[in-house]
Order: sequence, then C-alpha cells, then structure tokens
Amino acid sequence: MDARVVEELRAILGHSGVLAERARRVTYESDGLAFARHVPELVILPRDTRETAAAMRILHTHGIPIVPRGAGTGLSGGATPVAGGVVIGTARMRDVLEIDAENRCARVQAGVVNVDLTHAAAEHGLFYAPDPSSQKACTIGGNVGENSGGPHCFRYGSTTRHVLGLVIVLPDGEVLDLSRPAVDAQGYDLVGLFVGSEGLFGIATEITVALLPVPPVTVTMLALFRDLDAACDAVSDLIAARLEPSAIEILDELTIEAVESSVLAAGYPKGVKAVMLVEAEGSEAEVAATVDAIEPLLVARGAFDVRRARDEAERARLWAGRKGAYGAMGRVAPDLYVCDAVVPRTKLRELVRQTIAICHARGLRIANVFHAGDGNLHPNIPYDRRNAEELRRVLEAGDEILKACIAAGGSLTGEHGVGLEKIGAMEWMFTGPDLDAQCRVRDAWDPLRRMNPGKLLPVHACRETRTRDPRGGTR
Amino acid sequence: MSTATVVAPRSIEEAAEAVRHAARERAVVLATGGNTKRTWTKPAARVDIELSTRRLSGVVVYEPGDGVITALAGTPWAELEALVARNGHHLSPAIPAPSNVTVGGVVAAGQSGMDRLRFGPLRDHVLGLRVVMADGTTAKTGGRLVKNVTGFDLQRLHTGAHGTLGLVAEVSLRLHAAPGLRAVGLAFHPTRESALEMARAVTRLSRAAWAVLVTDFTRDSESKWMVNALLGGGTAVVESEVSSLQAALPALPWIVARPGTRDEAQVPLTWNASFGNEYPGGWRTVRITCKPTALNRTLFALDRSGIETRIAANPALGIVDASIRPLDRGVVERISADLARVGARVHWRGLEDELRARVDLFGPDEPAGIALMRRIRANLDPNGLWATGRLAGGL
Ligand SMILES: Cc1cc2nc3c(=O)[nH]c(=O)nc-3n(C[C@H](O)[C@H](O)[C@H](O)COP(=O)(O)OP(=O)(O)OC[C@H]3O[C@@H](n4cnc5c(N)ncnc54)[C@H](O)[C@@H]3O)c2cc1C
Repeated sequence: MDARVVEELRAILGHSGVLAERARRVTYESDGLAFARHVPELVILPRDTRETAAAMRILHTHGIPIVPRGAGTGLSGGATPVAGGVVIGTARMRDVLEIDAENRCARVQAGVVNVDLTHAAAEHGLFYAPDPSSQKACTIGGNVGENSGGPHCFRYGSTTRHVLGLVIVLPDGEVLDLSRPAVDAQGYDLVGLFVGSEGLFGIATEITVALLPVPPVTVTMLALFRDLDAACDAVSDLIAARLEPSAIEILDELTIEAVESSVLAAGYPKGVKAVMLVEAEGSEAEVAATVDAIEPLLVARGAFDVRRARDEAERARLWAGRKGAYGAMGRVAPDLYVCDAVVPRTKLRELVRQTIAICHARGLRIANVFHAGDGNLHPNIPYDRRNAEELRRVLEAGDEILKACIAAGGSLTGEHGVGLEKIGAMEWMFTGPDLDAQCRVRDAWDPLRRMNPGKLLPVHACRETRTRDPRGGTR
Repeated sequence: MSTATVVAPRSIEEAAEAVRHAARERAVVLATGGNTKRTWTKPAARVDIELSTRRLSGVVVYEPGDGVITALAGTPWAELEALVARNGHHLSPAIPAPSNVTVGGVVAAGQSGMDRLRFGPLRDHVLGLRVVMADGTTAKTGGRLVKNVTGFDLQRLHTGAHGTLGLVAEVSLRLHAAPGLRAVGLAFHPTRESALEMARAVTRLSRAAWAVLVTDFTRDSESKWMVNALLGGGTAVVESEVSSLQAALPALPWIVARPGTRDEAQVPLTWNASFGNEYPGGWRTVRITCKPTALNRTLFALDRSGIETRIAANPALGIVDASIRPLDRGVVERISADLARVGARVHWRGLEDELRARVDLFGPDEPAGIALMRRIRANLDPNGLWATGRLAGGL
C-alpha cells in the first residue's frame, strides 16, 4: 500500500487504528470461508462514524477498494480481502450507545457483538431477537451486512425485520444519517434496502434496532426420531397446521455424535437418527396451547420420545449443543463446508434426501443441522482443505445441492449470503434483467464499484446490461 | 391526467410489451391498480398512459401447506383474503378492502393494516416481486420463500414506491395463522389522557393484541374518548388474556367472538380507523407518525393548531390518523409545520386534486437520503418513463 495513503490514514486513526505490519494483517486473510484467502494490503480500524467517513474520503480520493468487516465469521467470503484493497474493520466500534426501553429500541455501534446487545437489553426485560449460532462473536454490523438469521427467526424474522435506522458512510465518505426512527419510510425504504447488501453499498457505523419484551414463559422440547425423513415430515406438518412456536431446528445423526463427544454434550441420546428442538414462548396459556398442539403431531410422525427441558440449565444445554454444532464438527474433520440453501417447507424431506444422496455419491459425509421451520437447510460437509481433490468434490457437491434446491423452487442462501462463494450461482437463479436491476441499484450507491468488488454480483452480468436501452440512449 | 390513455394488459408479458411501446413513443406512464390510493401521492406532472393492472388478475401459486401465496398485481385483495381464510390463514395487512383494492396497489402504496401491532408492517410480509422495469424487461426479486437473502432486497425498495421504480406485476406474500378466537374491548372516557393511559396498559399487558386504538369519533363529552382493543389468537390464549385483562382493567369490558354466537358478528377483523373516509362532510385525513413516547407532544401540537379534528391514535406504534375539515392550503401547511417542529411526520391523504397539486403532502422537510433516492430512480428509469413528482422530495 502506498506509504502516503498509510500516513494520511494514520493522521486520522492514530497508530493503533492502522495495521500495516504483515504479522497483524494476516489475521484478516479470510472469514469463515476458509479456503478463500488473501492477506490484505492494509487494515484500518476506525472508532466512530467521523473517523470512518474521514478515512473513506481518503480512500475515495485514491480510488482504493474497500472491504467492510465485522468479526469475520461470515461463511460466504463477504469479508475476504480483495487485492489492492483496504479492509475496514469495526472492531473498535463496540459501544451500545443507547437503550430506549420505553420505545423498545437500542442504538449501537456496528462492531457491537450480537450477544452483548442481548445482555444489555436484558437489564430492561427486553431482548434482541436475531440469534445467529455465532452470536457470541458476530457483530450487529455483520448481521446487517448479511441479513442474518438464527433459530428464533422462525417466529421473529431475520435481521431486516428488526433494523429501524442506520447511519451509513457511503463509498465517497459522505455520511447518510437514516437513524431517525420512522414508522414508515419517507420516499424509498433505504434502510430496508441496505440490510443484506453484503458491504456493497457502504459501511453501517450505527444501527438502531427494535427490542422485544422477554416472554414470560419459555418451553424447550426435544423430540427424538428413528429416521430423518420422519423428522422432516413432522416439520412440514407443524407448518401446515399453522402452529407458531418460536424455533424448529433439526440435527442429524452425525451432528448429534459430534456434539455428544464434545464439551458441549447436550444430552442428545446417541444412536437416534434425528433430534428436533422446538421452543415455544409466550404467556402461560399460549405456551401450553402450542406445546399441546405440537406434541401429538410429532408423535404421529414417529417421534418415540418427546421431552421438555426441566429447567433453565437444561434448556441452555440443549441450545448450547445446537449452537455449538459447527464447532463440534471439528472433531470429525479439520474443515467444514457449511452449505446454506432454502426450500419450500412442503419439500423438506425430498430435498434433505437429495443432499444426502449428492454427498454420498461423491464419497463425502454430510451433517445436516438446520433451521427446519424456515426451510433453511445447512447440509454441512466435513473435509480437509489440504486435500485438493477432496475440496473439489466438496465444491461440486455444494453446487449440485444448490441446483437441486433451486429446481424445487428454493434459493441459494437463507442467511449466509452470496459473497464470493455463490457469485457464480447467481445466474442459476436470476436472469439478466433481474441482475441488471440489482446492478443499477448498486451503482446508485457506489458508482465506481469500489465497495467489496467481486462479491455478490457477477461482474459480466453488470457490464452486459449497461448497453441495453430500448430507446438506444447511452448511459 | 384526464387525457391519458388507459392500457390494461392481461399478462405480465403484455404489460412489458406496453412499457416497451411507451418507451419507444417516449410516453410517460402511470402504473395504477384500483386507484384507491390515488390521493396518497401528489398528482403527476404529466401522464400519457395509465398502465392499469385491472385485468392482470389471479392467483399464481398458493400452497396452503407452505404458508405463502403468489398473485398477479390486479388480484382483488378481498379475493385473496377470502381464499386464504378457507385454509385457516390470515392475510396481513388487515385493511378495509372494497373490491377495487388490489394486491399490487397495497404493496406499491406500502399500506399497513389494523393488525400491525401483532404482525408488523406490510414490508415484513412481502417475500418477492416480479416488476416490469422501465426498459420493458421483467425483473424478479426475492422469492416464494419465508427466508431468503439471495441478492439485494429490492422488494423493500418497490414496497411503498407507488410504482415510481417499476410496475409491480406479481407479489408473493407470507401468510399467518388465522385467529381461532377474537375479542374486542370497548371503553369510554371523558378525557384523552385517561383513554391513552388505558390503551397503553392494554398493550403492556397483552401479547395477543392486534390493535389498540383511541378515537374521538363520538361527540358526547362524557364518553368522547373511546378505547378500542382487538385481540386475536388461539382460543385458549384469547380466553385467558381476556380474563387477565378484565382483572387488571375492570373498566374495560370485552366481547368475545365465540363461534356461532351473536357476539361473533360484533367483532370484525378490521375496521376503518379513519373517520374521514367513513363520514360525510368533507373530512380529510392526515396520517401522523412519531415515536410512541412523543405521542402526547404530537397531539398537543395538533390541539394548538385550533382546528377541529377527529383522531384515531395507535399509541403503541406512534401512529395517529387525524381527520380535519375544512381544509385549505394554509391549514395544511400550518399543521404540517407545527407537527414537524415536534419531530412528527405527516402524510396527507384524501385531499382534492387541486389542493393536492399545491401543497406538500409529506411535510416541509425533504427525506434524509433524497439524493441517493434520486440516483436510484435515475438508474432504474434513466429516461423518465414512470410518472414523476409524486412522492416526498419530488420522486
Ligand atoms: C459457527 C458459526 C455459526 C453461524 N451461525 C449462523 C446462523 O445461525 N445464522 C446466520 O445467519 N449466520 C450464521 N453464521 C454466519 C455469520 O456469523 C453471520 O453471517 C454474521 O452475521 C457475520 O457477522 P460478522 O460480524 O462476523 O461479519 P463479517 O463476516 O465480518 O462480515 C459479513 C458481511 O457483512 C459486511 N459487513 C460487516 N460489517 C459491516 C458494516 N458495518 N457495514 C456494512 N457491511 C458490513 C462484510 O463486508 C461482509 O460482506 C455462522 C458462522 C459461524 C462461523
């Protein structure tokens, strides 16, 4: 990186805000998509909106690409550095700025860790609903970038439903203050548009989110199945019966084994083929009604044991097993390819079967652990990245799985985003005109295409479409 | 406007063809549904062609087991509502929907419903769209899935854009469980303060509330302020909430809509909260929004204007529909300015064409981010095909 640029940035961010030494930059070479790596030329860590804006003005002047980064737990390469670019991390933007209990909202800096917000809200009897399994590490800014989900998004919806306002620094350093909470957007809904933009529109520095009252009663149920098909069918039945628990999660046999042999052992019995975690929240009457309606449906589909967590400790343990499932897979293989796809909820069994067949046909193992209630599959494939041939088979299986899901009316990603990983697959799902509209909107935010280049939008799709104009006008 | 040619395509392809034709002719196009939200925007500066979704009607996919419905834009809202109700589903927003309210129009207008407290705003239910773009192509965004983050959320951009970025041609919506039981609580208060206090208590205590409103539609001074609360949900849930609310707030009696009883008919799923649309006499409505905790301040600002109003306030959400008469430009601008000073936002609805052309329907201030909104518009519609000058900031 040009020494002058580094000096200009140091003048604003101080020494600790500019990481120029290679040893410190290496940590940023990838996000959770382990096989895509590039040591960034420079990493900067501004402390607030003002510093972010000043730094981005400098980068704009020099025409340098920018990759926003939260905690780097993303699984699609959204925060993978790009050659010749600067990574802007939010690690020093960790303040919860305000909790407005009366209006049930909070204003936080983008680098606040998801679970820290939940803890801060708990003092007021409130909680922040989106709960990715990575919530102990991932940031609210990263959640906004990906429009992240989590088990409880079945009931409460993904991040976008909970974001009320944003302060955004645009690629040229201009500050866009959309933080005044509005019941409905005036003009266009820029806040809603920004959520899930994967770092291509700008950097969110402050985020206003909605908080919800902690439900008075929570019951967590564990249902055991002798086969995975039955568990999937049970979920389809729950959806068809229009029941509204707050979470419906499934873990398959390989995942259960991994969890049970790890420190996170949750008491999921080994030897069962699938466990389902169902949680019901609300008033006493609401929870009782939900649980009473759910149990017979599960039993009818072959659940041979339906247990309820007896106390908070058991509840926490059941969830720790689910949320630690990815980590636990480390015992099975050094790397894990975490697939993320969505299917209509009437087709769960069919598609889960297909994912298994696709992996087995390539001599790969598969661990399915997923947000079943939303139709959000996570067919995870253990592998060893040092084995190039195996990695090739893994990626091939991943592609086949996505194609099968799309063919069934599903989608490429339910929560992990497109990033670098699925950019090639965008054209399996979208036509030229679909992508053209997306490119045009991106160009309104970032006309020079300096934000997170090479992510989410296939480049040629954008170039092609810029020449098409029915009136023959040039743009 | 009156000289515009009306074109009513029967398919998305025909709609796209009509747009391509208009583009070649350099005509300005206004996308319309049932025209029921015409007065929610300023009149367009120029319209050559009115592209109506009137005949673009019908359900495309409805898989009851999946809880999602996809319909063409011109499908009457009431028809969808009735269809999904037969399968135990509730279609949000709950809105009064005469036969000319279309699904595309509801989405384009960003209309939220009486059930917003329970189910959230409309934007949370729009899962995917098919939109005819200004170049005559058709662009899909989102999908028919309850969870999906593939590509930018352009459906959020089109929801509430009143067709200024494209013709919403097909809509996929998330469905909810229809309530097994409903109950309505009604109480009358001599003062606004005590009514608001009761309404806030209901929202604090309830998890099944669909709506809790405070209105002053009656003129009897002893009972001028009415609290109107609607609960919905599973039978056991509503029964138990009614009894706990009765214990906590004895002055609020409930009617429970037990199926097959006379009470069932007395509890509607939705009702028209805006006085202006229901009563004769030239009432016009302004929707005022503010932080819930700023509601009192907002209502005082309205009082100070000295204009006769009838209000329907939703204190938990910070929404007030105020009906006002008679209106001229001076009154509209004065009220808008008074409310802007206390940090509230306005959206005038129902003004006569002539007045609508002369006043700012969205208050004195331009929305934050207007420059970016203009760039988005310019990029999606570089040649100005869609009728303009209708939304905040002249979009
Ligand atoms: C073990 C594990 C479990 C996981 N479980 C879940 C899960 O249940 N649900 C789920 O949805 N995801 C899950 N994830 C994925 C990941 O945690 C989420 O995508 C998370 O939101 C990323 O947050 P982050 O702070 O790490 O962001 P990063 O990975 O650093 O960045 C994510 C994206 O957002 C952009 N970005 C970051 N900050 C900003 C900002 N301030 N402004 C604009 N753009 C920004 C980046 O450029 C990038 O494109 C999991 C990951 C792991 C490793």
